[in-house]
Amino acid sequence: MILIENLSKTYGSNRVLNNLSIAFDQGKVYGIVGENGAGKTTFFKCIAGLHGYEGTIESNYAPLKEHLGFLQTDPYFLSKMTGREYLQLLCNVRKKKVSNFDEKNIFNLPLNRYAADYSTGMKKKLALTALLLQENGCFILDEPFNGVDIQSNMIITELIHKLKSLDKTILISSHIFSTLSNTCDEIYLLKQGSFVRHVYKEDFEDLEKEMMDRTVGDSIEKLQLK
Amino acid sequence: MNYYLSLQLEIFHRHLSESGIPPFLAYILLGLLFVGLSVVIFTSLDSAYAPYVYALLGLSLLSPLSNAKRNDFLKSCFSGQDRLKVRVLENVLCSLPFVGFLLYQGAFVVALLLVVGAAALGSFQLNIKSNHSIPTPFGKRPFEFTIGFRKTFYFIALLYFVAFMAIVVGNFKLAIFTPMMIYFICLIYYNEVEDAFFVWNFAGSPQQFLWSKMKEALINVSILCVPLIVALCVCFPSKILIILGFQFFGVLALMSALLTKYAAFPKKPNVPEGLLLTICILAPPSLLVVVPFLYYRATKKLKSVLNDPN
Repeated sequence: MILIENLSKTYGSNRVLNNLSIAFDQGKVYGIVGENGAGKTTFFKCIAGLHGYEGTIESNYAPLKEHLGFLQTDPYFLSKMTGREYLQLLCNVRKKKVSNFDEKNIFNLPLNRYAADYSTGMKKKLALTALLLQENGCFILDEPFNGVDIQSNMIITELIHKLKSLDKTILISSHIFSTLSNTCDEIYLLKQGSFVRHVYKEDFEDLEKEMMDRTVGDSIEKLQLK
Repeated sequence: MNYYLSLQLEIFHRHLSESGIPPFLAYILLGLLFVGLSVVIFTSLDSAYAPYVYALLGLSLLSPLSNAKRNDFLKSCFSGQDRLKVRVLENVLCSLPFVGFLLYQGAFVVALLLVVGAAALGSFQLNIKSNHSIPTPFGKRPFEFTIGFRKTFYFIALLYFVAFMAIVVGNFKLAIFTPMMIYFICLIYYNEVEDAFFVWNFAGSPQQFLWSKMKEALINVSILCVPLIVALCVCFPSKILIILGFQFFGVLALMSALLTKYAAFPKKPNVPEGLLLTICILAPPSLLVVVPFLYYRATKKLKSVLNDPN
Protein backbone atom coordinates (compact mmCIF):
# COMPACT_ATOMS: atom_id res chain seq x y z
CA MET A 1 0.00 0.00 0.00
CA ILE A 2 0.95 3.65 -0.34
CA LEU A 3 0.07 6.10 2.45
CA ILE A 4 0.30 9.78 1.64
CA GLU A 5 -0.06 12.50 4.27
CA ASN A 6 -0.15 16.27 3.79
CA LEU A 7 1.54 16.14 0.41
CA SER A 8 2.19 19.60 -1.01
CA LYS A 9 4.22 20.78 -3.94
CA THR A 10 5.05 24.33 -4.96
CA TYR A 11 6.90 25.76 -7.94
CA GLY A 12 8.06 29.18 -6.82
CA SER A 13 4.89 30.91 -5.62
CA ASN A 14 2.64 28.48 -7.51
CA ARG A 15 1.16 25.80 -5.23
CA VAL A 16 0.42 22.81 -7.47
CA LEU A 17 -0.58 20.26 -4.81
CA ASN A 18 -2.39 21.20 -1.60
CA ASN A 19 -1.99 19.03 1.51
CA LEU A 20 -3.13 15.80 -0.11
CA SER A 21 -3.76 12.90 2.24
CA ILE A 22 -4.78 9.57 0.77
CA ALA A 23 -4.17 5.82 1.09
CA PHE A 24 -3.86 3.42 -1.83
CA ASP A 25 -4.41 -0.23 -0.87
CA GLN A 26 -2.93 -3.36 -2.39
CA GLY A 27 -5.07 -5.21 -4.94
CA LYS A 28 -7.00 -2.10 -5.89
CA VAL A 29 -7.09 0.12 -8.94
CA TYR A 30 -7.42 3.87 -8.42
CA GLY A 31 -8.30 6.42 -11.07
CA ILE A 32 -7.11 10.00 -10.80
CA VAL A 33 -9.04 12.38 -13.01
CA GLY A 34 -8.82 16.10 -13.51
CA GLU A 35 -8.47 18.77 -16.14
CA ASN A 36 -5.13 19.51 -17.81
CA GLY A 37 -2.93 21.28 -15.26
CA ALA A 38 -4.90 19.93 -12.26
CA GLY A 39 -1.65 18.39 -10.90
CA LYS A 40 -2.06 14.71 -11.82
CA THR A 41 1.39 14.23 -13.32
CA THR A 42 3.04 16.26 -10.53
CA PHE A 43 1.22 14.07 -7.99
CA PHE A 44 2.52 10.93 -9.72
CA LYS A 45 6.05 12.28 -9.95
CA CYS A 46 6.03 13.11 -6.23
CA ILE A 47 4.97 9.55 -5.39
CA ALA A 48 7.72 8.24 -7.64
CA GLY A 49 10.27 10.51 -5.99
CA LEU A 50 11.08 12.22 -9.27
CA HIS A 51 9.99 15.54 -7.71
CA GLY A 52 10.73 16.88 -4.25
CA TYR A 53 7.72 17.60 -2.02
CA GLU A 54 6.51 18.51 1.45
CA GLY A 55 4.66 15.88 3.52
CA THR A 56 5.20 12.14 3.83
CA ILE A 57 4.80 9.19 1.50
CA GLU A 58 5.09 5.76 3.10
CA SER A 59 4.75 2.29 1.68
CA ASN A 60 5.05 -1.34 2.69
CA TYR A 61 7.64 -1.54 -0.10
CA ALA A 62 10.97 -0.17 1.05
CA PRO A 63 12.06 1.75 -0.84
CA LEU A 64 8.90 2.30 -2.89
CA LYS A 65 10.89 3.59 -5.89
CA GLU A 66 12.45 0.17 -6.46
CA HIS A 67 9.05 -1.55 -6.62
CA LEU A 68 7.26 1.08 -8.65
CA GLY A 69 6.58 0.96 -12.36
CA PHE A 70 5.93 4.44 -13.69
CA LEU A 71 4.48 4.77 -17.19
CA GLN A 72 4.91 8.40 -18.17
CA THR A 73 2.48 10.24 -20.44
CA ASP A 74 5.19 10.70 -23.03
CA PRO A 75 7.83 8.02 -22.46
CA TYR A 76 11.38 9.09 -23.31
CA PHE A 77 13.51 7.01 -25.67
CA LEU A 78 17.16 7.36 -26.50
CA SER A 79 18.10 7.57 -30.16
CA LYS A 80 19.68 4.52 -31.82
CA MET A 81 18.47 2.17 -29.10
CA THR A 82 16.32 -0.75 -30.20
CA GLY A 83 13.13 -1.84 -28.45
CA ARG A 84 14.91 -4.99 -27.26
CA GLU A 85 17.78 -2.96 -25.80
CA TYR A 86 15.31 -0.66 -24.03
CA LEU A 87 13.70 -3.69 -22.36
CA GLN A 88 17.13 -5.10 -21.50
CA LEU A 89 18.25 -1.77 -19.99
CA LEU A 90 15.15 -1.39 -17.80
CA CYS A 91 15.48 -5.00 -16.62
CA ASN A 92 19.22 -4.60 -15.96
CA VAL A 93 18.70 -1.56 -13.70
CA ARG A 94 16.24 -3.55 -11.57
CA LYS A 95 18.50 -6.62 -11.68
CA LYS A 96 15.81 -8.73 -13.37
CA LYS A 97 16.94 -11.49 -15.70
CA VAL A 98 14.63 -12.11 -18.67
CA SER A 99 15.71 -14.91 -20.96
CA ASN A 100 13.37 -14.39 -23.91
CA PHE A 101 12.00 -10.98 -24.75
CA ASP A 102 10.23 -12.25 -27.88
CA GLU A 103 8.06 -14.54 -25.78
CA LYS A 104 7.08 -11.63 -23.53
CA ASN A 105 6.43 -9.27 -26.46
CA ILE A 106 2.64 -9.37 -26.09
CA PHE A 107 2.09 -6.27 -28.22
CA ASN A 108 4.08 -7.75 -31.14
CA LEU A 109 6.44 -4.80 -31.26
CA PRO A 110 9.33 -4.77 -33.77
CA LEU A 111 11.96 -5.15 -31.06
CA ASN A 112 14.92 -4.96 -33.43
CA ARG A 113 13.95 -1.50 -34.68
CA TYR A 114 15.03 1.73 -33.01
CA ALA A 115 12.47 2.62 -30.33
CA ALA A 116 12.76 6.35 -31.03
CA ASP A 117 11.32 5.65 -34.50
CA TYR A 118 8.23 3.88 -33.07
CA SER A 119 4.81 5.51 -33.32
CA THR A 120 3.33 7.15 -30.18
CA GLY A 121 1.24 4.06 -29.38
CA MET A 122 4.12 1.65 -29.94
CA LYS A 123 6.33 3.69 -27.63
CA LYS A 124 3.71 3.51 -24.90
CA LYS A 125 3.33 -0.24 -25.36
CA LEU A 126 7.10 -0.75 -25.20
CA ALA A 127 7.38 1.33 -22.02
CA LEU A 128 4.51 -0.63 -20.46
CA THR A 129 6.09 -3.97 -21.42
CA ALA A 130 9.30 -2.90 -19.68
CA LEU A 131 7.43 -2.05 -16.47
CA LEU A 132 5.69 -5.43 -16.52
CA LEU A 133 8.99 -7.26 -17.01
CA GLN A 134 10.39 -5.44 -13.96
CA GLU A 135 7.81 -7.30 -11.82
CA ASN A 136 6.84 -4.20 -9.84
CA GLY A 137 4.48 -4.20 -6.86
CA CYS A 138 2.93 -0.80 -7.60
CA PHE A 139 2.11 0.81 -10.91
CA ILE A 140 1.47 4.40 -11.87
CA LEU A 141 0.05 4.56 -15.37
CA ASP A 142 -0.21 8.14 -16.59
CA GLU A 143 -2.51 8.13 -19.63
CA PRO A 144 -1.85 4.46 -20.58
CA PHE A 145 -4.59 4.42 -23.24
CA ASN A 146 -3.58 7.59 -25.07
CA GLY A 147 -2.47 7.05 -28.68
CA VAL A 148 -2.81 3.27 -28.39
CA ASP A 149 -4.90 1.30 -30.90
CA ILE A 150 -8.19 -0.30 -29.86
CA GLN A 151 -6.84 -3.87 -29.77
CA SER A 152 -3.98 -2.85 -27.49
CA ASN A 153 -6.40 -0.88 -25.32
CA MET A 154 -8.25 -4.14 -24.75
CA ILE A 155 -4.99 -5.88 -23.81
CA ILE A 156 -4.07 -3.04 -21.42
CA THR A 157 -7.50 -3.26 -19.75
CA GLU A 158 -7.05 -7.01 -19.27
CA LEU A 159 -3.51 -6.45 -17.99
CA ILE A 160 -4.81 -4.06 -15.33
CA HIS A 161 -7.38 -6.68 -14.23
CA LYS A 162 -4.61 -9.27 -14.04
CA LEU A 163 -2.34 -6.98 -12.00
CA LYS A 164 -5.21 -6.30 -9.61
CA SER A 165 -5.77 -10.05 -9.14
CA LEU A 166 -2.03 -10.34 -8.35
CA ASP A 167 -2.55 -7.91 -5.44
CA LYS A 168 -0.68 -5.01 -7.04
CA THR A 169 -1.50 -1.35 -6.30
CA ILE A 170 -2.40 0.53 -9.46
CA LEU A 171 -2.93 4.25 -10.06
CA ILE A 172 -4.23 5.36 -13.43
CA SER A 173 -4.97 8.70 -14.99
CA SER A 174 -6.97 8.95 -18.16
CA HIS A 175 -8.99 11.49 -20.08
CA ILE A 176 -11.22 8.73 -21.45
CA PHE A 177 -13.76 8.06 -18.72
CA SER A 178 -14.86 4.67 -20.04
CA THR A 179 -11.32 3.27 -19.67
CA LEU A 180 -11.39 4.22 -15.99
CA SER A 181 -14.88 2.91 -15.32
CA ASN A 182 -13.82 -0.43 -16.86
CA THR A 183 -10.74 -0.79 -14.68
CA CYS A 184 -10.94 1.26 -11.47
CA ASP A 185 -12.35 0.47 -8.03
CA GLU A 186 -12.30 4.09 -6.92
CA ILE A 187 -11.86 7.42 -8.66
CA TYR A 188 -10.50 10.64 -7.21
CA LEU A 189 -11.20 13.97 -8.86
CA LEU A 190 -8.25 16.34 -8.61
CA LYS A 191 -8.92 20.04 -9.04
CA GLN A 192 -6.39 22.82 -8.55
CA GLY A 193 -4.15 20.55 -6.52
CA SER A 194 -6.84 19.18 -4.16
CA PHE A 195 -9.02 16.08 -4.21
CA VAL A 196 -12.55 17.45 -4.51
CA ARG A 197 -14.46 14.17 -5.06
CA HIS A 198 -13.95 10.54 -4.20
CA VAL A 199 -16.34 7.99 -5.71
CA TYR A 200 -16.71 4.21 -5.63
CA LYS A 201 -17.57 2.04 -8.62
CA GLU A 202 -21.34 2.23 -8.10
CA ASP A 203 -21.24 6.03 -8.42
CA PHE A 204 -19.01 6.29 -11.50
CA GLU A 205 -21.96 7.08 -13.76
CA ASP A 206 -23.00 9.99 -11.54
CA LEU A 207 -19.47 11.33 -11.55
CA GLU A 208 -19.25 11.11 -15.33
CA LYS A 209 -22.57 12.93 -15.72
CA GLU A 210 -21.55 15.56 -13.21
CA MET A 211 -18.24 16.14 -14.98
CA MET A 212 -20.01 16.30 -18.33
CA ASP A 213 -22.47 18.90 -17.10
CA ARG A 214 -19.82 20.97 -15.38
CA THR A 215 -17.27 20.83 -18.19
CA VAL A 216 -19.38 20.92 -21.33
CA GLY A 217 -22.47 22.77 -20.07
CA ASP A 218 -23.68 25.07 -22.79
CA SER A 219 -20.14 25.93 -24.03
CA ILE A 220 -20.69 24.20 -27.40
CA GLU A 221 -23.96 26.07 -27.95
CA LYS A 222 -22.04 29.32 -27.47
CA LEU A 223 -20.10 28.55 -30.65
CA GLN A 224 -23.36 28.71 -32.64
CA LEU A 225 -22.00 26.14 -35.08
CA LYS A 226 -23.73 26.18 -38.49
CA MET B 1 20.38 33.53 -43.03
CA ASN B 2 22.40 36.16 -41.12
CA TYR B 3 19.78 36.09 -38.39
CA TYR B 4 20.00 32.29 -38.16
CA LEU B 5 23.80 32.35 -37.84
CA SER B 6 23.77 35.18 -35.27
CA LEU B 7 21.10 33.24 -33.36
CA GLN B 8 23.39 30.18 -33.30
CA LEU B 9 26.15 32.36 -31.86
CA GLU B 10 23.73 33.79 -29.29
CA ILE B 11 22.65 30.27 -28.25
CA PHE B 12 26.32 29.30 -27.87
CA HIS B 13 26.90 32.38 -25.68
CA ARG B 14 23.89 31.43 -23.55
CA HIS B 15 25.41 27.98 -22.97
CA LEU B 16 28.65 29.64 -21.89
CA SER B 17 26.85 32.10 -19.60
CA GLU B 18 24.80 29.30 -18.01
CA SER B 19 28.04 27.56 -17.13
CA GLY B 20 29.00 30.61 -15.06
CA ILE B 21 31.98 31.61 -17.21
CA PRO B 22 31.88 34.98 -19.03
CA PRO B 23 31.98 34.33 -22.82
CA PHE B 24 35.24 36.26 -23.37
CA LEU B 25 37.01 34.18 -20.71
CA ALA B 26 35.48 30.98 -22.09
CA TYR B 27 36.78 31.87 -25.56
CA ILE B 28 40.30 32.37 -24.19
CA LEU B 29 40.18 29.09 -22.25
CA LEU B 30 38.67 27.12 -25.11
CA GLY B 31 41.27 28.61 -27.49
CA LEU B 32 44.13 27.63 -25.19
CA LEU B 33 42.75 24.11 -24.78
CA PHE B 34 42.23 23.74 -28.51
CA VAL B 35 45.84 24.77 -29.21
CA GLY B 36 47.05 22.50 -26.40
CA LEU B 37 45.21 19.46 -27.76
CA SER B 38 46.36 20.22 -31.30
CA VAL B 39 49.99 20.43 -30.18
CA VAL B 40 49.61 17.09 -28.34
CA ILE B 41 48.30 15.41 -31.52
CA PHE B 42 51.07 16.84 -33.71
CA THR B 43 53.86 16.01 -31.26
CA SER B 44 52.67 12.49 -30.42
CA LEU B 45 52.13 11.43 -34.03
CA ASP B 46 54.46 10.85 -36.93
CA SER B 47 54.65 14.14 -38.89
CA ALA B 48 53.66 12.31 -42.11
CA TYR B 49 50.30 11.17 -40.67
CA ALA B 50 49.47 13.87 -38.12
CA PRO B 51 47.84 16.40 -40.51
CA TYR B 52 45.56 13.70 -41.97
CA VAL B 53 44.51 12.37 -38.57
CA TYR B 54 43.99 15.95 -37.40
CA ALA B 55 41.85 16.80 -40.45
CA LEU B 56 39.79 13.62 -39.97
CA LEU B 57 39.22 14.57 -36.34
CA GLY B 58 38.05 18.01 -37.48
CA LEU B 59 35.65 16.47 -40.00
CA SER B 60 34.30 13.98 -37.45
CA LEU B 61 33.39 16.83 -35.11
CA LEU B 62 31.18 18.30 -37.84
CA SER B 63 28.96 15.21 -38.11
CA PRO B 64 26.43 16.32 -35.42
CA LEU B 65 25.62 19.30 -37.66
CA SER B 66 24.41 16.84 -40.33
CA ASN B 67 21.86 15.32 -37.97
CA ALA B 68 18.60 14.46 -39.79
CA LYS B 69 16.28 16.22 -37.30
CA ARG B 70 18.41 19.36 -37.42
CA ASN B 71 18.31 19.29 -41.21
CA ASP B 72 14.54 18.79 -41.20
CA PHE B 73 14.28 21.92 -39.06
CA LEU B 74 16.50 23.85 -41.49
CA LYS B 75 14.37 22.60 -44.39
CA SER B 76 11.30 24.03 -42.71
CA CYS B 77 13.06 27.40 -42.30
CA PHE B 78 14.96 27.84 -45.57
CA SER B 79 14.46 27.17 -49.24
CA GLY B 80 16.72 24.57 -50.92
CA GLN B 81 19.54 26.94 -52.00
CA ASP B 82 19.56 28.91 -48.75
CA ARG B 83 19.59 25.75 -46.65
CA LEU B 84 22.58 24.48 -48.61
CA LYS B 85 24.38 27.82 -48.11
CA VAL B 86 23.69 27.72 -44.35
CA ARG B 87 24.95 24.15 -44.01
CA VAL B 88 28.08 24.73 -46.08
CA LEU B 89 28.83 28.02 -44.31
CA GLU B 90 28.42 26.65 -40.78
CA ASN B 91 30.53 23.59 -41.60
CA VAL B 92 33.32 25.72 -43.08
CA LEU B 93 33.16 28.17 -40.15
CA CYS B 94 33.39 25.34 -37.63
CA SER B 95 36.35 23.79 -39.45
CA LEU B 96 38.32 27.10 -39.49
CA PRO B 97 40.20 26.55 -36.19
CA PHE B 98 41.47 23.21 -37.56
CA VAL B 99 42.31 24.81 -40.92
CA GLY B 100 44.21 27.58 -39.11
CA PHE B 101 46.32 25.10 -37.15
CA LEU B 102 47.02 23.03 -40.27
CA LEU B 103 48.21 26.20 -42.05
CA TYR B 104 50.42 27.01 -39.05
CA GLN B 105 51.90 23.51 -39.37
CA GLY B 106 52.53 24.14 -43.09
CA ALA B 107 50.07 21.43 -44.18
CA PHE B 108 48.53 23.62 -46.90
CA VAL B 109 47.12 20.82 -49.07
CA VAL B 110 45.48 19.05 -46.12
CA ALA B 111 44.04 22.38 -44.95
CA LEU B 112 42.51 22.90 -48.39
CA LEU B 113 41.19 19.31 -48.38
CA LEU B 114 39.60 19.95 -44.99
CA VAL B 115 37.77 23.05 -46.24
CA VAL B 116 36.53 21.16 -49.31
CA GLY B 117 35.55 18.17 -47.17
CA ALA B 118 33.67 20.37 -44.69
CA ALA B 119 31.79 22.09 -47.53
CA ALA B 120 30.99 18.71 -49.12
CA LEU B 121 29.72 17.34 -45.77
CA GLY B 122 27.46 20.36 -45.54
CA SER B 123 25.71 19.39 -48.74
CA PHE B 124 24.92 15.89 -47.47
CA GLN B 125 22.27 14.94 -45.02
CA LEU B 126 22.65 11.90 -42.81
CA ASN B 127 19.13 10.63 -43.14
CA ILE B 128 19.48 6.91 -43.50
CA LYS B 129 16.20 5.36 -42.32
CA SER B 130 15.97 1.63 -42.13
CA ASN B 131 13.83 -0.98 -40.47
CA HIS B 132 17.03 -2.66 -39.33
CA SER B 133 19.40 -1.59 -36.61
CA ILE B 134 23.18 -1.84 -36.69
CA PRO B 135 24.24 -4.85 -34.60
CA THR B 136 26.60 -4.19 -31.70
CA PRO B 137 28.47 -6.44 -29.27
CA PHE B 138 26.93 -4.57 -26.30
CA GLY B 139 23.34 -5.90 -26.40
CA LYS B 140 23.43 -7.32 -22.85
CA ARG B 141 24.56 -3.98 -21.42
CA PRO B 142 22.81 -1.46 -23.66
CA PHE B 143 23.07 2.30 -23.51
CA GLU B 144 26.06 4.58 -24.12
CA PHE B 145 28.14 2.03 -26.04
CA THR B 146 25.29 0.67 -28.18
CA ILE B 147 24.21 4.17 -29.17
CA GLY B 148 27.74 5.51 -29.56
CA PHE B 149 28.99 2.48 -31.50
CA ARG B 150 26.17 2.86 -34.05
CA LYS B 151 27.24 6.46 -34.66
CA THR B 152 30.99 5.81 -34.85
CA PHE B 153 31.54 2.23 -36.01
CA TYR B 154 33.10 3.41 -39.29
CA PHE B 155 35.74 5.38 -37.34
CA ILE B 156 36.54 2.35 -35.23
CA ALA B 157 36.85 0.21 -38.35
CA LEU B 158 39.17 2.86 -39.84
CA LEU B 159 41.27 2.89 -36.67
CA TYR B 160 41.62 -0.90 -36.79
CA PHE B 161 42.81 -0.55 -40.39
CA VAL B 162 45.30 2.18 -39.39
CA ALA B 163 46.55 -0.03 -36.54
CA PHE B 164 47.02 -2.93 -38.95
CA MET B 165 49.00 -0.73 -41.35
CA ALA B 166 51.08 0.70 -38.48
CA ILE B 167 51.95 -2.82 -37.31
CA VAL B 168 52.85 -3.87 -40.86
CA VAL B 169 55.29 -0.93 -41.27
CA GLY B 170 56.46 -1.20 -37.63
CA ASN B 171 55.38 2.34 -36.67
CA PHE B 172 54.82 2.09 -32.92
CA LYS B 173 53.84 5.75 -32.44
CA LEU B 174 51.00 5.44 -34.90
CA ALA B 175 50.02 1.99 -33.61
CA ILE B 176 49.70 3.15 -29.96
CA PHE B 177 47.70 6.14 -31.16
CA THR B 178 44.84 3.92 -32.42
CA PRO B 179 43.62 2.45 -29.09
CA MET B 180 44.00 5.94 -27.61
CA MET B 181 41.70 7.29 -30.31
CA ILE B 182 39.18 4.53 -29.53
CA TYR B 183 39.26 5.60 -25.87
CA PHE B 184 38.74 9.18 -27.03
CA ILE B 185 35.73 8.15 -29.16
CA CYS B 186 34.30 6.25 -26.18
CA LEU B 187 34.66 9.39 -24.03
CA ILE B 188 32.30 11.12 -26.45
CA TYR B 189 29.70 8.35 -25.88
CA TYR B 190 29.18 9.80 -22.41
CA ASN B 191 28.20 13.14 -23.86
CA GLU B 192 24.59 11.95 -24.20
CA VAL B 193 22.68 12.62 -20.99
CA GLU B 194 19.70 10.36 -20.36
CA ASP B 195 16.33 11.39 -18.94
CA ALA B 196 16.28 11.23 -15.12
CA PHE B 197 13.71 8.41 -15.49
CA PHE B 198 16.44 5.94 -16.55
CA VAL B 199 18.59 6.72 -13.51
CA TRP B 200 15.55 6.78 -11.20
CA ASN B 201 14.74 3.21 -12.28
CA PHE B 202 18.01 1.90 -10.86
CA ALA B 203 17.56 -0.22 -7.74
CA GLY B 204 20.39 0.80 -5.44
CA SER B 205 22.43 3.63 -3.97
CA PRO B 206 24.36 6.28 -5.96
CA GLN B 207 27.59 4.42 -5.16
CA GLN B 208 26.15 1.14 -6.48
CA PHE B 209 24.86 2.95 -9.55
CA LEU B 210 28.27 4.47 -10.35
CA TRP B 211 30.14 1.22 -9.76
CA SER B 212 27.77 -0.70 -12.03
CA LYS B 213 28.19 1.97 -14.72
CA MET B 214 31.98 1.85 -14.36
CA LYS B 215 31.98 -1.95 -14.55
CA GLU B 216 29.87 -1.78 -17.73
CA ALA B 217 32.18 0.83 -19.23
CA LEU B 218 35.23 -1.30 -18.48
CA ILE B 219 33.72 -4.42 -20.07
CA ASN B 220 32.47 -2.52 -23.11
CA VAL B 221 35.68 -0.62 -23.79
CA SER B 222 37.63 -3.86 -23.38
CA ILE B 223 35.53 -5.46 -26.12
CA LEU B 224 36.64 -2.65 -28.44
CA CYS B 225 40.27 -2.30 -27.36
CA VAL B 226 41.58 -5.66 -26.12
CA PRO B 227 42.11 -7.16 -29.61
CA LEU B 228 44.21 -4.11 -30.55
CA ILE B 229 46.16 -4.14 -27.29
CA VAL B 230 46.94 -7.85 -27.61
CA ALA B 231 48.10 -7.31 -31.19
CA LEU B 232 50.32 -4.40 -30.11
CA CYS B 233 51.80 -6.42 -27.22
CA VAL B 234 52.59 -9.31 -29.57
CA CYS B 235 54.07 -7.11 -32.31
CA PHE B 236 55.95 -4.67 -30.04
CA PRO B 237 56.95 -6.92 -27.08
CA SER B 238 59.64 -4.49 -25.88
CA LYS B 239 56.99 -1.76 -25.42
CA ILE B 240 54.50 -3.74 -23.31
CA LEU B 241 54.86 -1.48 -20.28
CA ILE B 242 54.23 1.65 -22.38
CA ILE B 243 51.20 0.00 -24.03
CA LEU B 244 49.72 -1.02 -20.67
CA GLY B 245 50.47 2.40 -19.17
CA PHE B 246 48.57 4.08 -22.00
CA GLN B 247 45.63 1.71 -21.44
CA PHE B 248 45.61 2.50 -17.74
CA PHE B 249 45.27 6.22 -18.41
CA GLY B 250 42.76 5.51 -21.21
CA VAL B 251 40.54 3.66 -18.73
CA LEU B 252 40.93 6.44 -16.15
CA ALA B 253 40.00 9.05 -18.78
CA LEU B 254 36.91 7.01 -19.69
CA MET B 255 35.90 6.81 -16.03
CA SER B 256 36.38 10.56 -15.67
CA ALA B 257 34.07 11.14 -18.69
CA LEU B 258 31.45 8.85 -17.13
CA LEU B 259 31.74 10.56 -13.75
CA THR B 260 31.73 14.02 -15.36
CA LYS B 261 28.34 13.21 -16.88
CA TYR B 262 26.84 12.26 -13.52
CA ALA B 263 28.66 15.05 -11.63
CA ALA B 264 26.60 17.48 -13.72
CA PHE B 265 23.43 15.32 -13.83
CA PRO B 266 20.64 15.91 -14.76
CA LYS B 267 22.15 18.80 -16.72
CA LYS B 268 24.48 18.26 -19.63
CA PRO B 269 28.16 18.72 -18.72
CA ASN B 270 29.01 22.31 -19.53
CA VAL B 271 32.19 24.32 -19.98
CA PRO B 272 33.62 23.85 -16.43
CA GLU B 273 33.19 20.07 -16.59
CA GLY B 274 34.50 20.06 -20.18
CA LEU B 275 37.56 22.05 -19.14
CA LEU B 276 38.26 19.66 -16.29
CA LEU B 277 38.01 16.70 -18.63
CA THR B 278 40.27 18.35 -21.22
CA ILE B 279 42.89 19.12 -18.56
CA CYS B 280 42.77 15.43 -17.62
CA ILE B 281 43.40 14.41 -21.23
CA LEU B 282 46.25 16.91 -21.59
CA ALA B 283 47.82 16.01 -18.25
CA PRO B 284 46.89 12.36 -17.56
CA PRO B 285 48.45 12.16 -14.05
CA SER B 286 45.84 14.71 -12.94
CA LEU B 287 43.27 11.93 -13.45
CA LEU B 288 44.43 10.30 -10.24
CA VAL B 289 43.10 13.33 -8.34
CA VAL B 290 40.22 14.32 -10.61
CA VAL B 291 38.53 10.88 -10.78
CA PRO B 292 37.92 10.61 -6.98
CA PHE B 293 36.75 14.25 -6.93
CA LEU B 294 34.25 13.61 -9.75
CA TYR B 295 33.10 10.41 -8.04
CA TYR B 296 32.33 12.36 -4.87
CA ARG B 297 30.42 15.04 -6.81
CA ALA B 298 28.50 12.46 -8.86
CA THR B 299 27.33 10.57 -5.75
CA LYS B 300 26.02 13.86 -4.31
CA LYS B 301 24.19 14.74 -7.53
CA LEU B 302 22.61 11.28 -7.82
CA LYS B 303 21.25 11.22 -4.27
CA SER B 304 18.05 13.12 -5.09
CA VAL B 305 17.30 11.16 -8.28
CA LEU B 306 17.86 7.82 -6.57
CA ASN B 307 15.97 8.99 -3.43
CA ASP B 308 18.97 8.01 -1.33
CA PRO B 309 18.33 9.05 2.30
CA ASN B 310 22.02 8.76 3.35
